[in-house]
Amino acid sequence: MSHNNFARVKDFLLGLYDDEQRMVAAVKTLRAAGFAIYDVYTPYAVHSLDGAMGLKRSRLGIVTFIAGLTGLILSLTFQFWTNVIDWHVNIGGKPDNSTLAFIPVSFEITILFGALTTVAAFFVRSRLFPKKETLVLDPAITDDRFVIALQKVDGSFNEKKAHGLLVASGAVHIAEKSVIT
Amino acid sequence: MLRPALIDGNVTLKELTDDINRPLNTKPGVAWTIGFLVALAALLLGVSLVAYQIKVGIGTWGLNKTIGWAFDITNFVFWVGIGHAGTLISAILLLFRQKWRTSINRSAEAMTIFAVMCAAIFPLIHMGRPWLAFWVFPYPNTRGSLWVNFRSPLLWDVFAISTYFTVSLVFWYIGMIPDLATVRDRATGKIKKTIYGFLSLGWDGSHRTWSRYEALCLILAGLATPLVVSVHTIVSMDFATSVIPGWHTTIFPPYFVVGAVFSGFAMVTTLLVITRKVMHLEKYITIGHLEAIAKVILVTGSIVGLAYMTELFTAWYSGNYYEQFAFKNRIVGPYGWTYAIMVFCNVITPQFLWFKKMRTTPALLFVLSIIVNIGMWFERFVIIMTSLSRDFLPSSWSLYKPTFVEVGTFIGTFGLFFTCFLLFVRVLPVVAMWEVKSLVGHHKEEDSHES
Amino acid sequence: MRRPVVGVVQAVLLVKNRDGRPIKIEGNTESPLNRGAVCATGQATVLGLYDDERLKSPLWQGQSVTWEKIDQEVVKTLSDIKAQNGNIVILTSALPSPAAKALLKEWIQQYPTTEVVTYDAISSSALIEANRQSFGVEGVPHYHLEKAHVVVGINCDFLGTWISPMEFAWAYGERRNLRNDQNKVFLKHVQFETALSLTGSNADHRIPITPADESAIVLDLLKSVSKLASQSIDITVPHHGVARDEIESLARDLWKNRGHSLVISGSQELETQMAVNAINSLLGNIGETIDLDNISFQKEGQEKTLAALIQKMKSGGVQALILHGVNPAYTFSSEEFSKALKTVKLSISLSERLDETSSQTTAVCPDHYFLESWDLLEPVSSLLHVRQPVIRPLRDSRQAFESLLKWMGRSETYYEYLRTYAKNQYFGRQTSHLTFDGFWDRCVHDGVFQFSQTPSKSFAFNASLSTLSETVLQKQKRLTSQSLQLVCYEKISVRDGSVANNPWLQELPDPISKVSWDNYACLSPALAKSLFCEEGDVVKISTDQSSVVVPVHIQPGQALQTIGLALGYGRRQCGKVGEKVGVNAYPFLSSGNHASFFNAVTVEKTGDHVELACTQLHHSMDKAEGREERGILKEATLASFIKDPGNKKKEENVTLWEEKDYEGHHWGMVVDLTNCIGCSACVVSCQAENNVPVVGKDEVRRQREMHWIRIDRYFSGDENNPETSFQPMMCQHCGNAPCETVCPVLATVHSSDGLNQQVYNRCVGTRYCANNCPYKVRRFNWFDYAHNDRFDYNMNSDLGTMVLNPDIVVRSRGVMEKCSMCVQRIQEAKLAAKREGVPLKDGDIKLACEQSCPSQAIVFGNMNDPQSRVAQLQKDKRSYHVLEELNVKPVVSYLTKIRDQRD
Repeated sequence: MSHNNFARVKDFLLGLYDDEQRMVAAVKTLRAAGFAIYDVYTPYAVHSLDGAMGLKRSRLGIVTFIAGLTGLILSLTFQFWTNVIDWHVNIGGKPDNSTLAFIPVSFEITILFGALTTVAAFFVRSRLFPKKETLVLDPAITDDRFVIALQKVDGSFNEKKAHGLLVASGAVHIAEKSVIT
Repeated sequence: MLRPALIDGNVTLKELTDDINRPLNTKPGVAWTIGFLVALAALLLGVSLVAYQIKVGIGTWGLNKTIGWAFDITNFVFWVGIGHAGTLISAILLLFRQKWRTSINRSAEAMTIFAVMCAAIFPLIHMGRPWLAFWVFPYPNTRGSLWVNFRSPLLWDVFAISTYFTVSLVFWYIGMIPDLATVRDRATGKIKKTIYGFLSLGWDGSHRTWSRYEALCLILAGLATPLVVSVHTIVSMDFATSVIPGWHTTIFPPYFVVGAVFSGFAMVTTLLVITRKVMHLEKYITIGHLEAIAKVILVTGSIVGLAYMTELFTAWYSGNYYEQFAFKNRIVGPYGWTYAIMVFCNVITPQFLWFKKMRTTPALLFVLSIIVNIGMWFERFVIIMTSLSRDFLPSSWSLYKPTFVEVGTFIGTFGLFFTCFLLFVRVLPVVAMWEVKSLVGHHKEEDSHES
Repeated sequence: MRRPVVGVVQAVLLVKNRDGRPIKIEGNTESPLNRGAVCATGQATVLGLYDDERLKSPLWQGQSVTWEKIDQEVVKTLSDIKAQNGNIVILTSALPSPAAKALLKEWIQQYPTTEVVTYDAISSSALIEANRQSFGVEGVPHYHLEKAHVVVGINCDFLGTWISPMEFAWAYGERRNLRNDQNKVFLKHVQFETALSLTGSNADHRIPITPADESAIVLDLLKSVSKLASQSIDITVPHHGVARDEIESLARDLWKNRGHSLVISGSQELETQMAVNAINSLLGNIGETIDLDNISFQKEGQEKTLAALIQKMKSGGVQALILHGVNPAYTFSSEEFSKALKTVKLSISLSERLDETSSQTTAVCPDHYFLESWDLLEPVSSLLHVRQPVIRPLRDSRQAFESLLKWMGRSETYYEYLRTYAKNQYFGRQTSHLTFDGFWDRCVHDGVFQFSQTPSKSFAFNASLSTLSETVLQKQKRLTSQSLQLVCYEKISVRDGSVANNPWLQELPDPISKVSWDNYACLSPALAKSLFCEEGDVVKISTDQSSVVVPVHIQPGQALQTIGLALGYGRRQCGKVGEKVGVNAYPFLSSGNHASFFNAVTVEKTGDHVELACTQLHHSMDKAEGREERGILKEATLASFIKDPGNKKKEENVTLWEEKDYEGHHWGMVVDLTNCIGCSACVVSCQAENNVPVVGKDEVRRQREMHWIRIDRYFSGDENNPETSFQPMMCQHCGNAPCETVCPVLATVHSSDGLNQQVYNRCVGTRYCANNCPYKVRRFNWFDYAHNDRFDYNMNSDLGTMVLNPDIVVRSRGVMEKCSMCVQRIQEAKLAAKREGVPLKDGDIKLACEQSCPSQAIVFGNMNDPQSRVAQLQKDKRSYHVLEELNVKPVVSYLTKIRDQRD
């Protein structure tokens, strides 16, 4: 396999688990022992991992709020502009600026903007896109395996200790993998 | 009270993966094939009748100078209503952390998407000139100042239905990405691998992604919940904001939303009873699930009954002659039989669900759900058609009879619905594996702690 | 735009021409006969011009030939017949043309063996004969309804079909108009009749009678009137269905208004007409409301002469027969006539098309359509009408009398002939013009010339009252019957059936039954019940003369034990539109005397059922429909109106938002329900003006007729003798229009002058606007109605589309349409005013419906102008809006209907 000069190779030590609890305990142990967890790969969302891995709360909600607000303002402004400024016609004797009647459309646009922007932000942040080269550390991740990935950082990584901790915490299998990113 | 078991027996994560993936990698069974062919035939019937109607004119329907909407908009409201249960299960129950929803939310959401597709056909084809349907969008144009009417409930519908469809589709797809990765990793054959690989967007199970993903699902659920309420509210405003007695009433928004949930859950029952049998998913879609749904039907059915009574009370109490006449006419007028069907199906039938036997026997539930579906179709027909048929001027009172084209088009939408649904159960994971797995995982863990 | 003047029998017309095509017929305000209005049938005649079925050339033995050839053949044969002293007969309908009459006289000089026979399919022969016997005047008098305070109609549909309905409708509207002068005497109208007619439906007091009782009732009335006149006749009137009090109170009313009353009967019984003459004579009406000095030529026919003619033909006594304006094979008896025709050596039809008769004749020499030809008419003595052509002949046709001139060997045209005639006969009778050319130009320009009339005077009644009563009594005895009785009547649309191929008329709903495209047996609800018949059940109706198979229509107001059946249907040959529509009722009349009714009728159910094409499915407006609560129809009696002319004080509607101001014009309309007689002239007028398509029987059955204005007809009270109310209903152009708010694409919006506009180009056809219209006046194009073989009416033929108004677009499939308040007329008038630099005056704009209304029930104008009639009338205390409480602010106001009834 020839790599071009810009490619970086990452070497991983993988601990495979078949049980959620043991895996979470292992994450805690590893972190306590000073290991940085590169990532954990699981078949489903394991809620307790957020705390165990020390992840911060997602800020997607802020994106939703801003996008929704933008949608609301845009749609209200647009309806006001078309009805009052650009083209005011007598429609059933109603006032040009029938704000109440503009609410349903504004509401829908708010939701639409909020939802689509949040999804887009999620894709960008999580780098999910079609034809992405998938990092398949183990095909069983999407089945029933929980994988703790530790990156072998040059110099500072005590592979032996890590290996030991993984075995001790109940990993059913330990593997090494190099990934070109 | 103990929660009913969310899945039957002890299943490992692997068994679950295999069970749910099996239909995607095996040849279809006889039942599926027959069902699919029937659905496809109905779809073709619908397509050809719609083509005929668009070529010749709306005159091929049974409408007249007095009754401008009947089968078309009845079907529209009916299908939109059906869709609501899917969103309710996937979004509202998620917000309420109802774990029993996990094994049925995927198919319920699929139902939403397909039902909204069926629904959207009607506003489109009921137009006299459907080829100009794009005029309902406020796009910049060169015809001078020319915009759409933001005061029209029909325009609100355009925005509500398209937003609802878009958000539901996105929500459904987002919820499916981890499962698509599972399928991708198990797919045999290059084409399947490529397609599922493409669709799963390179999902690798990273917990950092999972963490954001959960947040995203909650946000979408939070958006979809008011959305679903707004959609049927707006649909009901088509009628509520008009001047026609029997339409012009403020009770419609809540009444329509509850009715939608009611009919939607009935349709979920219909589909799940079939699906669990045909796809051998009894383990995952349990009697417990069916019973939970049945309870929702019972509650919403009772609310619907209350709404009917409130409507009558309001008409009587209003002292408004036209209102009173409209309701009298509904009950004893030329279409009184439709009102009778409506009351029987929607008010009386669900009351049988007080019996546990009724709630836990799939065959009985199936029959009941069909009755409720029929009843809810008639509810919309009663509201739309009978109100129009006799409004203000007795000189214009009229009668309506659907034509073959209208009935056939309605059958065609069932064809579309079931064609889509049957394809769905063959090509996409019908149960949200990752969600059920999280339950199995925890469940297992709880068991081990107890022992 | 050119507006030449044209005259026909019933009305004097103005024809609107565009691009050389006549497209709209309107009334000529100069004429005292119709005063600017034209009936539904008259309105529709413009479409007849573009009928595809008109012959393209003359026919000789069924073959298309040239005029030279046919003239040769005809002249040769006629000369032979003349040489052999053979008989020639000219069979013609009533000829109101004095020039034509003179021409026929000259013809007789040329061909001395010629006999002219006048025959009207639906005649007034008994009336004419009665006048001869009573007063020595053979003819139809000129009635002056406008002078009457009380009118009694006895089986006489004078507002719909009898003699001169437009003239009567105008007078009726004038005498019952409460708008101008509320102190003037309100014409009281009492009607005795069998079938519910347009006239009867307007009567203040309508009494259903069986036809067999008719003469007894007339006799009873005569007896009561003669008593009041102190000329008592001693006679026992046989029992009849009307209460003594009613007759006596009616007699008192008439007597009180003697000289200002009018009793008219449509009876074909000579004795009855004589008795009616006696009543009018006793009441001193002759010379007042009945003018016998200036008689009407609108009806002249004597059907007995036709029966005699047929006999003569059968015995081989006729060698040549020329038919003009008649269709005996349809209106008399097809079989009899065909048999008789076989003996005739040369038969010539002057018909414009191949009909039941002309398809059997040796030659067909198609006449011009009346819009293509000149004529001189005198419908009433001393009232000259000059008709000029408004288009070059579309077909290779020739004016009927020009053909006669040719066959007489004369080279002049008919135009030259009648001009000479006018010079000789009329020029001298006037003094206003010194030269004939000046006189002639005036006549052609105005279309009408009124010569000074002979002052009408009273005529002595020739017969003895007691002898007359005795004869009536004898006749009555023979008529008395316990069996079912059949009456045949004319509909306001296809009338005698000669215009049956006109789709506008076929589609026009009958104002009483609201059924279009058919005739039917009208049964009273009680009779239908006793025969176990429902609406649409097909029955066989038989007399000893004839029988027909026809669907039943349950008609409230039809006298018990009687059946009504319309004439004019069941054409076998007239063109694709009119053929196979309904059944032919003429065979019942063909016994030789046009009896008004037939005894000993049997009705059998056939077991079949058909759906009639009825535009209104619900007919009653009574307690069950919430007559009071709905606030749609407002009616009052004259007495209560005089006592308290105001409606209850109107509640002020409040509105959530600021109301829109209309600067400049704000168009509005007032419909006077007291004046509207339901004649439906406006419906056809609107159809012609606005290119409203015809949709056919099936689509009408599906409730999809397209008329922009309709006449809602409601019955209330006793179903066997209901009150009838008419309410013209068109777009109300609501200020707060519910239709506008709901259109997603703004295809219907409000104009700055207050009109609710429909933008066809923008419409995508959601029909939401129609659903949300409380008045249900919006009409949807369910199909393509133009150039579509499914709708093979005038819009599907190149010729037929020539009638379309180029100012109005033909709507495409899938769009909504509705009354625009003739926006093209508004724009046209605005432009004209602008060009002249003067402001628009009230009355400058006349909408199509308003223009055609004979009783002036519709008024249009600018509500912003406080002097306009509309603004004034909207302040009238009778003024109200339909469904006022919806606060949609319609600009159309209705004026409460007033009836002269006891409270």
